[in-house]
Amino acid sequence: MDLDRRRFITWSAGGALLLGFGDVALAAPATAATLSPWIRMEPDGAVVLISTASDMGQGSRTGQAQVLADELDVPWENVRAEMAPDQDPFRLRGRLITGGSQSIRTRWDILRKAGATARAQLIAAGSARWGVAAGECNTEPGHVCHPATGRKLAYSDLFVEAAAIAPPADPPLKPAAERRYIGKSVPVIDTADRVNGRARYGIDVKLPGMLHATIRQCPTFGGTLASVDEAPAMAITGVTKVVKLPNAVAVIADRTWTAFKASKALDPQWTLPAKRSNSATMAEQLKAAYDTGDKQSIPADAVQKKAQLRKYFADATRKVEATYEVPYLSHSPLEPMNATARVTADKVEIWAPSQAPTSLRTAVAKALGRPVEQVDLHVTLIGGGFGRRLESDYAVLAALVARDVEAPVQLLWTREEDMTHDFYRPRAMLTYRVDLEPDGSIGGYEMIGAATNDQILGGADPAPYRKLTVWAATQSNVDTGVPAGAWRSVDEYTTTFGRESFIDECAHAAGQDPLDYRRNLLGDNARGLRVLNAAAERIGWGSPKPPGVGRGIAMLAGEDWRTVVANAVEVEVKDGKLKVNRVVVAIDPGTIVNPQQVSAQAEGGAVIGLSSALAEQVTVTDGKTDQTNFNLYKVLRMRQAPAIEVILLETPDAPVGGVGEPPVPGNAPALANAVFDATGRRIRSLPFSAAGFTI
Amino acid sequence: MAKINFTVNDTPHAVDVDPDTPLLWVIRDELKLTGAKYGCGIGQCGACTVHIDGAVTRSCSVPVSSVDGSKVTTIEGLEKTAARKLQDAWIAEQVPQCGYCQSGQLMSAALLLEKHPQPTDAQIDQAMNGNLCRCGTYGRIRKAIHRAAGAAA
Repeated sequence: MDLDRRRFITWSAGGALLLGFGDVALAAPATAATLSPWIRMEPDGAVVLISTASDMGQGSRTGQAQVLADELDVPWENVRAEMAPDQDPFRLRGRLITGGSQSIRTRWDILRKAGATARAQLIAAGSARWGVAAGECNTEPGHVCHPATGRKLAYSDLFVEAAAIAPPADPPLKPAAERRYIGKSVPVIDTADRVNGRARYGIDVKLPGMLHATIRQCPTFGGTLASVDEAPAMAITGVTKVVKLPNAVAVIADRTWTAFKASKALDPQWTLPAKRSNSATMAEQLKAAYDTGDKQSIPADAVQKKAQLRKYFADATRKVEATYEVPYLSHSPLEPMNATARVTADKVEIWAPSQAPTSLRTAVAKALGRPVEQVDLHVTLIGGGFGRRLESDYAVLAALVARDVEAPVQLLWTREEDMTHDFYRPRAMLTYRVDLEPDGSIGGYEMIGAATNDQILGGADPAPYRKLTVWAATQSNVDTGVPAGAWRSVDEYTTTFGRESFIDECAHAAGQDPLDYRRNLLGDNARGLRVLNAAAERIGWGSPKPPGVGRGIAMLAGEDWRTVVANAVEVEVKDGKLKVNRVVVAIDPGTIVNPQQVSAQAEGGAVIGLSSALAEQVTVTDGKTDQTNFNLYKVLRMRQAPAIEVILLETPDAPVGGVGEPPVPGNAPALANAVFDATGRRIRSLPFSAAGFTI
Repeated sequence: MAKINFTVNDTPHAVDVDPDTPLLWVIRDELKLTGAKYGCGIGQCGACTVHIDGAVTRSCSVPVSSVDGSKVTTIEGLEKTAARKLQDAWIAEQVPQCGYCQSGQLMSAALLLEKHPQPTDAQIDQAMNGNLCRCGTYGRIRKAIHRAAGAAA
């Protein structure tokens, strides 16, 4: 992931934007204070570091700033972080996007090099000022120093001169031992604003003359607006307009509540699609798709592998086979979908809590028939993303609602609208089979699955088990007409639930301890073994436990995330009541930039992982979502949240891994394995509440 | 429309609004205090939690007409009270992730500590159960409440 040097220099020389002394440089780029697109020094000494990460509380904006500040060598108390504009060099493969647990791992090399380059230029400027060799100088936070004479110059004094010095091609990077911020639990930038009410999310945008709108989309997926009598809404004082869209009706008013009330007063008539799906028949559809669906398989030589598997299974004295199911899930971030739009003749301004600035701008431009350059996006703080805000539907709707209005319009969805018009985590069914040899070993491993979107092959590779060399995975898709999207940990949630439950079943079928069984399957995967053992030891694997208490373990090695995780769970089941007592998350993302933030992600990942496994489920009846609010969609609450212990491990020579998603998937199978340990009952279909457990 | 008088964070306000308007929207849209959040509109998530005359209240579900003459405290008024130590504890424990629910969490925690200066875990469960956190910060919220309680002792 090398810095694209040519583009970097071109961009810098082009003038521009962010560098130099704040507004002075913006107004007059010719002052040549252009040191780096990632760094801006303010006259008051503040060092503004540009982050590519939308801030939804995942801490990666702070993490990116730590990486940059460490190499640049500036005092942390002077550091501010700012969201990058949607342009190069901040984009990655053409897009600015916050997802896939990639904000740190994909920018690690770029940011270190950017910080080191600027530091080298500052040192060169300082040494030139003193007439000494650059090699005689070093830095301490915010200053270039000449140790031989004890002289010091502040970065702010050298910035303009440094910009005139050619950036070195290959500046030295700090050795790990000299790192000042990387690896330290520095507090998250802006935390104070999140405890005093001053933080501003998308919903908190206030513009002069701004109007408030809300929307009702056709509750049936695929339906359209046939007609609506506007009179009941227009009769309400404060309502300025009813906007009809192809599949929705919106009300614009002077106040949020007026818009909500007027929207409720409408009785829109919808044209329903002929095909309206039902959860009750989806299991059959998924099963049927195993044979008839539009199949994809991995690995690349799946055809040969499958031939091999057929032979293993035909010759096997014993086979193990099991089928697992996961339901649709809603993201339900606590901040409902919203965006604010001001549409003028030559400009479209959007304020939105977006995880995906590039695709949002593209989608808004397309919907309004404008060139994308006209779309200015202000990314706000995000009140929860989890993948929902990778979509741009809510911003497109805001732009469409505001397009013929003089004033800026804030479109806020009700919770009911948010929950019934999500892009849900797909529903899926997975069947696993292996041949089990007399000694418990596995010859061939096969997964066949179907999902209501193409989200199951990621993570279908039975990594981290090195001994499972003969394997194949196949998936089919079923189109239910229900919108589907990425939900924190995406494919890996589904495939980890299946694989880690199934490996447990194989262990029991072989009469072996599930932990020992996994250890053996790991083969020479020492990194995986260390993580697995750490979680097992902390949960007290093998120690005596009272009746009704069970322990389960699960692990994953995310290929894309480059992070290894093991989750261990202890449950107590009594009279049908399921209580999670403890959760251990052992995580090795290679290098840890901010320990307390990695821990926060593991803790939060455990909560959302358990919440979804225990009681979350979206069902669809006659093409409509049944769950409309948190009274029907059950999210884990304080009294249900277990004690969570996080074990942080590092493998410094491994690539830097992601941490936002990897802690999530292992919780559901560890829970299922623990419940089996406690009760002898195997739950193969989520959530547990649907299996009759009281949560 | 109706004229309603009430006090928010010790400042008297007179508003002229539809009397059905939930208090939350008066606070947010009329008074421009955006710390209290909209999350569900039916008192299920707690993001809108404020104090009305010293009681934890989901402001999304209370018509403004019912608070005529009342004293309301929002997150913006919390730092002037003894509950300031909770905000410090929240920072020390690095509780917030996205932070959207935290105004409500703090408002619930503030009255918990007033009632039970040294709360047990069961009392924390009871007091905090109406406040959802989708990021999963419950463990740190519990620690921060204990920390603030310790600071008070």
